[in-house]
Amino acid sequence: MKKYLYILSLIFFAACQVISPEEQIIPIDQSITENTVLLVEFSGVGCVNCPLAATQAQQLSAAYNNLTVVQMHPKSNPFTTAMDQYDYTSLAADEYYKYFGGTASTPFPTGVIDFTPFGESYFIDYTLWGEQIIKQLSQTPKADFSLTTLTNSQTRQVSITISDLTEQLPSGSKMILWLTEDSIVGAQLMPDGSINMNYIHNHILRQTITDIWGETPANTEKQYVVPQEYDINNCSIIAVLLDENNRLLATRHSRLNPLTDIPLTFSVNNIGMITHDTTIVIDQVQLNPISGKQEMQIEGMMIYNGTFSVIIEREDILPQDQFCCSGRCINTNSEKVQELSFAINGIAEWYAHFVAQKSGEYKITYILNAKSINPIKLTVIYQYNID
Amino acid sequence: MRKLILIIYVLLCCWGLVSAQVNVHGNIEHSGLFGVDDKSLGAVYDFPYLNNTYLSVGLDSKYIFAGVRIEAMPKPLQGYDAQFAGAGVGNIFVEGKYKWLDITIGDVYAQYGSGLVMRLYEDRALGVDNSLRGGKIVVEPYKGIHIEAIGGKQRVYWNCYNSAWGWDYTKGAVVGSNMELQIDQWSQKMTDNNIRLMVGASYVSKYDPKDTVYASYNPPMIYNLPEWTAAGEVRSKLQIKNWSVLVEYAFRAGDPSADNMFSYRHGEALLLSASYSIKGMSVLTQIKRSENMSFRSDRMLRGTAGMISYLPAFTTTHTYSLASLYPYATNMNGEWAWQAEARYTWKKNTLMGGKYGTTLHLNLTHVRGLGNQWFKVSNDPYYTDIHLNLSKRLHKNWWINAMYMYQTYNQTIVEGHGDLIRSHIFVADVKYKINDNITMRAEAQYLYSHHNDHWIYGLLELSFLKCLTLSAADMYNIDGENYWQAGVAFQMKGHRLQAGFARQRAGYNCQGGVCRYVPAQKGATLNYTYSF
Repeated sequence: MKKYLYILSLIFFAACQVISPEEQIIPIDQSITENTVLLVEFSGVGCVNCPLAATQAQQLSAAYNNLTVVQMHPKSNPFTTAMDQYDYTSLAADEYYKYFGGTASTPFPTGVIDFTPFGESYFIDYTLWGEQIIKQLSQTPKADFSLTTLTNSQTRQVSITISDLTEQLPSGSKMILWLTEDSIVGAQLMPDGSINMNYIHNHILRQTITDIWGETPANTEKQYVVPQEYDINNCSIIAVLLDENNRLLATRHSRLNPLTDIPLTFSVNNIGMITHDTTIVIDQVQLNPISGKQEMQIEGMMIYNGTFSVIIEREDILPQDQFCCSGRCINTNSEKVQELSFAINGIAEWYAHFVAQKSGEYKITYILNAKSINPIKLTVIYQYNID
Repeated sequence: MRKLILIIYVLLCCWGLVSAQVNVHGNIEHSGLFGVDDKSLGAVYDFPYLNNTYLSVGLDSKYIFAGVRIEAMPKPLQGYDAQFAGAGVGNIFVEGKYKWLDITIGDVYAQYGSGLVMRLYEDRALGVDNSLRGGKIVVEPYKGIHIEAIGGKQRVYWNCYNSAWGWDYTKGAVVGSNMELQIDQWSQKMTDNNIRLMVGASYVSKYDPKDTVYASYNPPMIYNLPEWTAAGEVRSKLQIKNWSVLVEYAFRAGDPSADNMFSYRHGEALLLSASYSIKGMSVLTQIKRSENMSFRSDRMLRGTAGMISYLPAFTTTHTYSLASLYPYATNMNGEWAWQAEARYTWKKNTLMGGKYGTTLHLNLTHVRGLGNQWFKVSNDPYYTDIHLNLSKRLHKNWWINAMYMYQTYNQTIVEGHGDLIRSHIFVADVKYKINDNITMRAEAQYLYSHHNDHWIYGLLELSFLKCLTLSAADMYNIDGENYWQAGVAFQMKGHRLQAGFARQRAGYNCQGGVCRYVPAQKGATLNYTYSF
């Protein structure tokens, strides 16, 4: 009897494992493929633990390029009731939420990965997202496609191109396009119970560009105008390819970047668009009413969002100043080669006014450099005649 | 599962042949809602009839007891986790008792002390059933000695159907043991002096296979999670005549889980309680400190699923609607809770007692968060409940119950959103026996909130022949929100049928610190129970 009691007590007291501090966190090997994964994060501004889940999603998004994160605020859950003038709910979010089995009492935060149930439920606690997402990232891709966007910040029009779509897709597949927005500053209930009025919300689903449940997938180009109330510089287009059972096949995301999406267009008055190396002869001297000087001029327009540079090379030293202007004039110096940088947001005027002391032929080369174009060399031959 | 049921059936048949005296008992419970969409309330139904049904049957004989409970929730009532949907045998057991030995095989429940390390129970209103599927042995070899051992796989929704025999221990298990010694039973002197002394100890361990939980992604690092985690408890209760003192201390080894953000810190709870009671008077005071005492069979679960431990709330479960508008749920991360309660009855034919007697009940409850040192409390109040209740029979046919309550409720801590709500609540509950066959009851309640959230509540109830009850109630908010209900209940010989129509606000259904969120609803309700 004593022996059995001793064994029993050993069993019970052995049934406790204590992990030493240095062994509490350990490395793990991963084998990530080209598979793409979608995390739909259900969140609410009145949900005290949702910032923790958002941090988790952000860390995952930063670590894995093939992961697309979208945050949805369904109206039918009380945690999404607005706390300030911003309402992040949408009809689409509610539709998806109910489809996944969400109700008014579904605990938040929660998420759905790849539009797929794992076990009995679609919803996965945020503490398990990492494990499941990495498992999915290690799977063989079921399909693929490319998503590119080109944005015109003036018209707010986005050209959305789907290409390289896998040819053999299951019958009944569909493609959904979403608009999401990052960096929205607004109220959020925090884990310590306080309300942070300057919380930064990311990945918020704003609109569905297609129908809520998508359309027939195809290699196509679609035009979409981003509504005024969204900051176009913080928006992204998400493309989601689903099979006939609404399970994810592939997903892509493309951040709208109006600053570099529009190629530089450069034109000279009375000459036209300059798209390649060009030589212009200016032989008309004009009186500048402001300076009162006889000038050789070229003037034109630029349309661009971004920074470009111009290298000015002079064959002869100019005795007088020349200006290079793009909305703001920069006084050129007397150096033979000079590089100037300009930042343009939209449309800007471009002009160069040249003054010399004596008649003659002066050759100046302007080399224009911008991100979206190959360098363009504009050679201007000024035939200055003030005699 | 089918094999298990077959074996139990055969055993029962055999025993039925042997024993001529088998008592059969049980009950049927059905609750249903025919939902009606009300978009202003946020109540929208995608299924016309939501319902929960339970059928329990028990067989008792001299040495053998058996029971089965069948549950059917094709579309569960709102507020119940969607994973409850389904139907099947929720509970089945066979128990054999002979002299000092009691063995149960099947789905078992247990509670050690106040439940700080183990409380396995069923509460349908909360959607809780955390039984173990395995077995329990209780041994009482000598008077005053009670030893118990339990082991099995915990029920989480319908996980018992995931394997052929109803359990899969590779997915986790719970074992526990408990011993209580009633020392006074060995001492005639103690018994003669009305002294009772109990000492007890419990030990619970769970096996939870490792999960892959990431601590970081760049570089990829995971938590090294323990597969075995244990908790222990010691307790003692001393009763000397009208005095009673209880001390309980529980300790739990590091159990990183979704509840505590994967902290490896240990958990502990201390409970002290003292009471004094004589005829017509009782006084109770108790204090509790708990920290990081969430203990589940599956570390990734949340809500009420998979709980092994239980932390008593120290708060009164109110039955009056406005008093239970903001019920408190025990904070698993930690709290200090203090409660004092006094009850006094003035005898009849005294000045305060009047002709029939008067009872006064005072309760004070205060809950705060933990401070940065063991004995300190946080600056944030979690919950306060001070209420004074007067019960009096005014006349042969008149009864009154009046209550004043002051409440503070930290909605952010309890519900995860909101503010600190301070309320004054006034209740008058009057019963009038019109004659031997008809009784009328009326309630009037008023809640004044510093949050400008004021409520008025009225209820009228008529009972006929002790079997038929008509009721109507309305709860009205100063901002214009209106929630009403009307119903009829009929009971006779073990049957009770209740039908009604209600427009109900969202809220929490709480029992003993465990809460279930109930969303707003509108529609016809149907409830039927029958006990046999």
